[in-house]
Amino acid sequence: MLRVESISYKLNNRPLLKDISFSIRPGEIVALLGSNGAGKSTLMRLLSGERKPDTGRIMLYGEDLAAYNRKILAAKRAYLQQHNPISMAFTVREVVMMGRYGFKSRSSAKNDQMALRETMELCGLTDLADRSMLSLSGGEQQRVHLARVLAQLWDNKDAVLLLDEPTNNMDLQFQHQTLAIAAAMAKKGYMIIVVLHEVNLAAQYASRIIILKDGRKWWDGTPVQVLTPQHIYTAFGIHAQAYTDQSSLKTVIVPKEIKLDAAKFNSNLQVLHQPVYKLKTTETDELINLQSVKI
Amino acid sequence: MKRMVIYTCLSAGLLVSVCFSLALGAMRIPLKEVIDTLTHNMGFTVFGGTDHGINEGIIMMIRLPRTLMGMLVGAALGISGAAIQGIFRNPLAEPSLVGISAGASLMAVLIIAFETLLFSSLSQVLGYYLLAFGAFAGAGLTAMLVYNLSKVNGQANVSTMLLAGIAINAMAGALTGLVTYLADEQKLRSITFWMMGSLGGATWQNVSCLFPFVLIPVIGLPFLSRGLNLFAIGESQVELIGLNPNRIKIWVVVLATMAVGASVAVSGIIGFIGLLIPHLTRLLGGVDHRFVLPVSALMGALVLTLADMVSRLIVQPIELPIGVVTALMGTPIFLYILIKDKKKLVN
Amino acid sequence: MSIKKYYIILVTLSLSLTLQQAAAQAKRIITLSSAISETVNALGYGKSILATDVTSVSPEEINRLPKVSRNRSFSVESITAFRPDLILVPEGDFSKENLYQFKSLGIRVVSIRQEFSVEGATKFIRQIAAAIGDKTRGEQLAQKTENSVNTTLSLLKKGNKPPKVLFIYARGVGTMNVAGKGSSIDAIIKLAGGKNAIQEFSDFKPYTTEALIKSNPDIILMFDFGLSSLGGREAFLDLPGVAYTNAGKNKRIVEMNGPLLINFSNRLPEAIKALNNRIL
Repeated sequence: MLRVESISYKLNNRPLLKDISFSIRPGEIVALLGSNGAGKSTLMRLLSGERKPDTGRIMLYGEDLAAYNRKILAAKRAYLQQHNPISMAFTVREVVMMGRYGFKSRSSAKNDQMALRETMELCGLTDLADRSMLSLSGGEQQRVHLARVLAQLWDNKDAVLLLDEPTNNMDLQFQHQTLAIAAAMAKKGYMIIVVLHEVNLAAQYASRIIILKDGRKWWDGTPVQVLTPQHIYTAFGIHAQAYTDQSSLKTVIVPKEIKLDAAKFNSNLQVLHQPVYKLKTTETDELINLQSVKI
Repeated sequence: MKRMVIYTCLSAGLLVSVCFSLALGAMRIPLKEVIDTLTHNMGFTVFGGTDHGINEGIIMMIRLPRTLMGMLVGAALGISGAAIQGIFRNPLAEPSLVGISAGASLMAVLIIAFETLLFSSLSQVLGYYLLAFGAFAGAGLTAMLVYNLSKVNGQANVSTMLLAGIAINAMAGALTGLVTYLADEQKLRSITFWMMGSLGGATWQNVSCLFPFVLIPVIGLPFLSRGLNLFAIGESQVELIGLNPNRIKIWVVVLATMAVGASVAVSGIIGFIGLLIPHLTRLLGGVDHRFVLPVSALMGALVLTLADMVSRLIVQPIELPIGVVTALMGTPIFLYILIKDKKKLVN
Repeated sequence: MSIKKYYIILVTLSLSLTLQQAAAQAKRIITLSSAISETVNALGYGKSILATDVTSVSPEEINRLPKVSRNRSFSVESITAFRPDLILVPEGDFSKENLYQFKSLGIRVVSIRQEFSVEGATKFIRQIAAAIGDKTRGEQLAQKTENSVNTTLSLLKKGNKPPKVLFIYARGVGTMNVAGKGSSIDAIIKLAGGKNAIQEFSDFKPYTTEALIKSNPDIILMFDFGLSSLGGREAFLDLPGVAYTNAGKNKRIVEMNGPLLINFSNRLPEAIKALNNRIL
């Protein structure tokens, strides 16, 4: 059980989050949506314990997050950040294994190997195991960090998994694979919070959607409840239509295409007065006179 | 498997260079006599015993302490360089670059300058311990100063840290030069000694004093390998995975400055080892600190022993300052790495 | 040659060995300064010197000996390779580590202190003789030197007032120092009847044009190699500021042999006479 009680957060006197409250139960997979700068990543940082809220508190499994012992917390929650810059040429295997660094006891060496093997297989990394991270594409690196974060929690049956834009740079298959993994773990008792930009991906896999705008929580509910054309326009400033897909009964959002005229926004491309030539005929039955007339 | 091979080769190489270092020098001493001397002093006789003459003195009192000092200083600089590069997440970080060596030498110089005023009754050996601790403290203080100067919004920024280090380096270096210039020259050794280093002053007294200051970091730093690995993927990750980033940072800085400080106190500033050795180690066997740290110590010991041999033998009867030799050895390799692996070095 | 070798040391090194009453005379000596080499030679033990430092260039026999040091840098092993039984070194040239190293090898090291005065010169001679183990000859040479100095001093040429002499140590235009009070040069200038143009500071300090003009010397004194390193007399007279001084206007540039001038040992009377002739 993760309970967020009226938290606020400021950075350099600029309020980033204002009075946010909600709670999550095991088995739920919550998608956090909002336009850029709405406060999603900030909220994730507070949920992970990386930062402490200025007001309010976060309770995880009945205890204040701020009071948790570092090691115990690491076994109960994992946080996949948006940016994972890697500066040294570690191999894929070494990075995934880093997720297990919190557990030092000898007896877990077998567990370590199992976690390593299974998470790498799950994320399609078995063939890349000995490749240097610096030689991988952005999406491949992302998968490695996902595997690492999963490996961290692999031994536990209940935990919190925080994923901040995990599908950036991923190809279509792995976008879905990632969310499918999250959904499967949720079914077994995990609590998942995932920040997404892809609204339909959220609608498809999440059981609950929270939309943030300007640091506040505006909507919180099932995809059907939250993803209405009015809400989407208010949150994202884009016109869209919402359908329910008949076979899956999931909400599908179809944003309206935006049509722009380049001449209207780039003054170099504007239409100037150009001479246009038109045919003019005379009244006589003689040959039609073709005269050039300037219009 | 590959790593086992590397360990064995380096250890063997070290052993061989130690033998050469003991056997070669301005005085010609046959190898048989070298072995005799060593074994005799360890308690048993192999060939025929020694004549207890000047040759034995040279081997036991001059070459052996010097070789040991070379190994200790080399190991200290190698492992500290690797640790500092790990904590700064930057392959260009080096003890002398971020001001640690300069801080150590400044403190050492000040202690020597005021030694007669304060500690005239101190025994020889105690005097060396005082010097080593002082240099350690000097190195630690400058490390903290650099760290605080480089904080942006409460977070230590790597680029500013390097810039602050360069500034502190310049200032401490200038102050050291000033004190050396103004004060009684004989006690302070020359500017050349501090800036370019020398193993010529090695005695059993200062080597035995140096020993713990190097042994502790060489044993202790590898225990911080996991933490250093995690630093490479982001400082916030360290805490998220359950380790304590501040404790790791402090321990790394303490142990690294201990090793560097004591080394500078007895042998002056020797550059390039801390920068180059970790690079070579990573090229050989990957970037995992569990490998890089101990192997950098081993390789540092090997390289410095070789460099000392060159400095002793190449322009007899005098010696080249060892800093000159390490620079001459290091620059071509460094340039080669830079040209070949530009991508890997940039963040 | 480094003039910095000859300076006054106020604190004796705690580890410098006291002069021993050697029962046997030293037979294998290494001398590490020009003054020491000259003195040992003058005492008649020139043949016992195995090697010297690079500044020991006179007399010719000494010059031909192998050299073991350069710019005050040396290696303990190189010196030991000659298997000396005595090393004579200016006080302060060996670090305490080096002294310890020689001690553990069982080689006797005697640090000789040099003072820049007439008594200093005789003391120097006696110290070296004692270290070698021939006090008698030391006494003879010291006495002879002292007498000679006294004679020379009484026969000095004198003018109305002592001329102001500025000494410049040069190794190319980039390295130029002047001698202040209390330096070796200051002492010899005084003995030769002159006055040091610099009275404001002591020891050697870097040369500046300002210092030159302010001191306005009547005579500029330099070592022979120093003057040639600046390009000779004519080139020196062209340096900025020189033409404003008395010395420059009268073209009174005096060059002398370094070791002769400042070794402050048995050749002291010669040095005083030579300098006196040049400046008056």
